[in-house]
Amino acid sequence: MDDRRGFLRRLLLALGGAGLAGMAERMPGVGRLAGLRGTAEAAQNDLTWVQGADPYKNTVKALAELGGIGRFVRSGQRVAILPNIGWARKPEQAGCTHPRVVRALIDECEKAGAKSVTLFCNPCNDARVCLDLSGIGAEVEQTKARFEFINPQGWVQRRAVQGCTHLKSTQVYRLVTDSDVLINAAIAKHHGLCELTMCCKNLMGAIKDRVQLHQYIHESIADLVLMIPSTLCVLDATRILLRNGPSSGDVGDNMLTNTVIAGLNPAQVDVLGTTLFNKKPQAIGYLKILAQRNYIVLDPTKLPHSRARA
Amino acid sequence: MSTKRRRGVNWKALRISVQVLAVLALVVYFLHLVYPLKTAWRPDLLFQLDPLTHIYLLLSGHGVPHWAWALVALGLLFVVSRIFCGWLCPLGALLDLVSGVRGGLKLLGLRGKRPAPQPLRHRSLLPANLDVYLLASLLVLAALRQPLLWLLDPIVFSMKFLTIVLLPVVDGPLRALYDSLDAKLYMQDWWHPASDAYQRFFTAYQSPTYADTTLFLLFTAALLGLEFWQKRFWCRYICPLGALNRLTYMLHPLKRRVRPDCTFCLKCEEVCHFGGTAEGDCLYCMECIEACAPGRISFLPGGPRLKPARRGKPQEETASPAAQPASAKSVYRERLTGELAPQGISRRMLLEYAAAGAVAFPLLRLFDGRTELPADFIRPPGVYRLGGDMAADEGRFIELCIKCGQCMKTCLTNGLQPALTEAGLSGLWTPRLISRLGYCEYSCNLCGQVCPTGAIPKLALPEKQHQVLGTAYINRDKCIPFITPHNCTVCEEHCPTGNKAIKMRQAAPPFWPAGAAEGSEVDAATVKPATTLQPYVDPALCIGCGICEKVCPVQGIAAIRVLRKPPGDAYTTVYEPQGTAPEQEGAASEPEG
Repeated sequence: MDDRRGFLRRLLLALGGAGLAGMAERMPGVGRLAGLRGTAEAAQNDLTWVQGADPYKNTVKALAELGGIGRFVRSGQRVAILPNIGWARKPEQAGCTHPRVVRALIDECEKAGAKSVTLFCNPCNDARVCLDLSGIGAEVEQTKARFEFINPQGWVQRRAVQGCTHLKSTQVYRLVTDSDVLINAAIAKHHGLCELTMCCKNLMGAIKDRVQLHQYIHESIADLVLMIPSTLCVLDATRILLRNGPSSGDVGDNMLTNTVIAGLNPAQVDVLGTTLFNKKPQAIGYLKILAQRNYIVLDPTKLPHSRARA
Repeated sequence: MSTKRRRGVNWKALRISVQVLAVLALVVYFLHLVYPLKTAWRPDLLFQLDPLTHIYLLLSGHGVPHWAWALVALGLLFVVSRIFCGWLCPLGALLDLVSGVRGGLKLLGLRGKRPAPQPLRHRSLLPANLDVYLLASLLVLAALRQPLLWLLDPIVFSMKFLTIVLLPVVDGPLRALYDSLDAKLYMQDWWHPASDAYQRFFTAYQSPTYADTTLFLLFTAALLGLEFWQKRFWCRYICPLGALNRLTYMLHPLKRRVRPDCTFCLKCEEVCHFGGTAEGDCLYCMECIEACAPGRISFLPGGPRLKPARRGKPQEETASPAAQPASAKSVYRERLTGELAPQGISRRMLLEYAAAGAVAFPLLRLFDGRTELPADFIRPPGVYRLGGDMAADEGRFIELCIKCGQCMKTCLTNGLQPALTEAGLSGLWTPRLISRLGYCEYSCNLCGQVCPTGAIPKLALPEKQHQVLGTAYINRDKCIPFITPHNCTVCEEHCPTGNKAIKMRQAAPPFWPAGAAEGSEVDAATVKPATTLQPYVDPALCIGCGICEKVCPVQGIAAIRVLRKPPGDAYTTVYEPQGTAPEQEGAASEPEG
């Protein structure tokens, strides 16, 4: 027999729960995570493939296909962009994300009214040389955006989330934690150890002890994808590196493909990216693990996505 | 009457201001020695203005690379002369600072009474003009291509002091302050310019650290400690640049002139900032102008002056030394007019010291202690010419390197470090690359650009990228895929050569028992326990940049090391021999012996 007191208690609990859920939704990290979780059954406009001669236009078009930058960046938000600026390589060597792709992302974010746009990357070569040679430094200088050199004290411990199997925790750069929006802007390259490096592997640029993860590279990458949720993932495939990855250095190692793939789920973007290399996603260890965790659809043909030309 | 007041110039304040400005200029110059080295001036300007650089290069027969700069430097020597020592020299400023500390201690009553008038004390200990005699020795050694001079050049000392002592020391607390601010403010727009300037110029994006600096610290302590014994001791008795300035002082139009009606009241002696009223000892502190009430001291040319006696004609007073103990007055008179004046440079002493230099040459060689260089002793790019004789190139490098440390300051990765005696005593504080601390960046050629003597050649980037510093060797007792069922490939990833010098092959880990991986926790789907990706080095492609050694995830000494020659006995059994890629896994468990 229900009494009034019990009824009130249940009512309060329900209200409280609704309030908590509402708050959680507003918290950027949780919101992003929830958004990612949902993409296992990706909608048509959660993934796009754009081709065209101009990497800048490709990127703008890809964002338009996903529903415009306004879907990811709202006015007054702080945006962190994680391009691959890991190597002292020129754009024609396909070592780093194409500078025009990065520029397009910065411009779009500023158009959307972002409070600040900050680029960062934990590089393999010296950051200054990487910035200069990759051409990204010159592009950043023409905008209001800023490249933040890694401060060795700027790492933040981040614990594993549910679903991680290998990592207990790792040190991520503070911009990952403190920004409202994280844009993962990777380049599609061959990689000697994990076959291909695209958006998932690009997250290694946001963590400290990268080198120590190479002994369990696939498990680590799969865990990082869960631990470092991105708001938006852009895969620069203007030039893809076919051999000698990830740093190469030989201009003959890459191929002009003039493509930009963008989406919400980094692993799903990568699945589509494997088709650039004529490889099967099953052959990529970390994608396979993520599929086992029911995080992605492994078959690119069954993947709903839009295709456009810019 | 001649007792009119002098113009009210506060010489002390003026001099200290100029000294501070000079030091600041040096600091600006020093802080600009960072990538991308875009300066309005030559990055090696400081040493092009140092006459010793050009004199040494000329004498040692290595030739002066820039005649125009040589003329400028030698011209400055005559124009600035001794004024440099008192007003511009950074080491002089540092010594004055130490003197200030000493004065402070005295004020606190920690160092007893003011010592007896210095000239009386030091006169009996060391010959006057000792620096000139020492310079003679050093120049003879320079002509014999012995670079001892460079341990004593004040400009070289200052640059090295800033690089390996002051910046790392200052950066410690500064870094802590910066980090605490940056952690809170790094999202604030107004903070970024300050933050970027600090990172760019001060830390060069990493806190500079130098190994093996103890000896240099001791050297510095000794040098500065001399100041506690006597003001500007170093400048008057040792400094080779000071000796050059002492010599040009004689020809300089502006010098301390005492009118012949001087009464030897010693007031000027009391105020003399540097304690050196003798000719050539004067460092232009100008404080005696004020002290001489009758105004008998002037630094401007013209007018009658107390002239030093000609050599070989001693004054009557000093002719009978046994009769009376030297009074301060007589010493002063003697210093103005007698053998302690620069005219008193003894030709005999000069020859003796020059001869001593010649005698020291074989001795320095004998006790140089240079044996074969350690295998991991890596010189900056271009020092060892491609296909050249390494021993000859090393010899040439030792002769040319002035140990200024500009290359270490500029090095992008902090990998260039001062050597101790690995390359002999004459190789002390020359640069060596310690790859585990910092590798040689493939797309960087800054060290050659800042080297003032061409010891590290200026190379265009494509040329520099072909320079071979050493070869990478893999220690299979430590390398992860050789001793565990795990892949790694970090070294191969980072290898910068277009055609990778480090290549990978799939093979069973030779030091991992067959079948042992079956029961391990390794995910069989992702890591193949039967075989691993194992690195090997193609010595024809390896340039020895050392990034593999830097990034190797093995703790402690890396599993891959850059060496100049095949490793010695300690490594033979564990390092893979050059160029051989053992095809059979079975053979790998029995490395070459």
